[in-house]
Amino acid sequence: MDEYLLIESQGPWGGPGADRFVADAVRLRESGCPVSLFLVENGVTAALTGGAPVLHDLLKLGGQLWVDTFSLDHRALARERLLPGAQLVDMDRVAAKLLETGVRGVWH
Amino acid sequence: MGRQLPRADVLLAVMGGPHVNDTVTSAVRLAQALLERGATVQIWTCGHATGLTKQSLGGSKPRNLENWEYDYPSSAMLAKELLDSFPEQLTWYSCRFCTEERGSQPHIEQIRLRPPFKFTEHLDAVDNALFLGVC
Amino acid sequence: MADHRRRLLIIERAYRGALETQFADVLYLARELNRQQGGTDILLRGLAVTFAAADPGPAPAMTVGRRKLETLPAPRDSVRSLLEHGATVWAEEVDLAAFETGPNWLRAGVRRAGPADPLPDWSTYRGVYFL
Repeated sequence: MDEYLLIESQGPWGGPGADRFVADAVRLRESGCPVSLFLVENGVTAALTGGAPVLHDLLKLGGQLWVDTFSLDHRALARERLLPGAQLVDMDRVAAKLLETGVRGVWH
Repeated sequence: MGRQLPRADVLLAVMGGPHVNDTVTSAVRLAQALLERGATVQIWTCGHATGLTKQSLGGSKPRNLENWEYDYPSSAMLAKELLDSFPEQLTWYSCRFCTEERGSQPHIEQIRLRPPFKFTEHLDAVDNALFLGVC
Repeated sequence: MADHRRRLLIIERAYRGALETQFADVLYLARELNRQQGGTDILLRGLAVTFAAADPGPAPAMTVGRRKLETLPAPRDSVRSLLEHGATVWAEEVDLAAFETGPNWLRAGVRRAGPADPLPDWSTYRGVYFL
């Protein structure tokens, strides 16, 4: 079974597409695929409390929610406002995952 | 038969234009992280992203009125920096069609022009391909 | 008769290319207009309200090849500079709610726009421009 690294770069401020992409992540998880969703650039705003409700579904299903530390800090967003379960990561972690055998990357 | 493209670990296809959002910043950050891990990376630019490596940009951005003497590197200089730092691991391609359509030629020396119908070969030559942004 | 009203600049699209833009971000243009126009009003909305956070956070930097690039945009420093140079800066209350963590989150001197403190009245400006 494939594992997925999904990367969301725009978040709710970029329009409805971000929620749809997270819903894609949920569907993949429901089908049994391991899923890591990496939020980068403005996408990190989805992981703030009140950001994207569909993320709760992903976390409940055991999906991984990664938030880019660089993007968060550059936007002066407070870590204490992140959803419980969100993990702060750097780009090296993302690179490592992308290089793992069997991992499929998709950028939105 | 044409020369076969060498395999690489990752293709980063930068489709989104610069100065719109942080796509280019992320592409370079991810490329740097992959390269530091020893991966082989191809970067392909399309659309206005082809303008990142225009020779006419020179090495420096125009002067900052508030910091006149400081030298700010152009995107072309930063691309060269990345290529010079990882010469065996990184190859940077630019779509010939977009380069011509968007007036991005000539590129800096290290950029390889490829016709758009060859893009499929790049997709087949890597284990993972990410499309960053849209043209 | 000469029109001496100020101009209103509205910024809603934020974070547009750290690596390629560097110092020349939208606030650079705003600072120049403020200087040349003898004062402007700037309304931040959407994600751009984060430009007005009091805490600038760590100076943004990234590595490109062997170079450490330390000239990425620093919007919170830019807002501080705008205030120092006589600009009036507003941040829309409805968007602040998405990011604030407490009463000291917003930089002192930045005005809250709506509902308690009304949004800038467009009719009082010489022109309104989305940057």
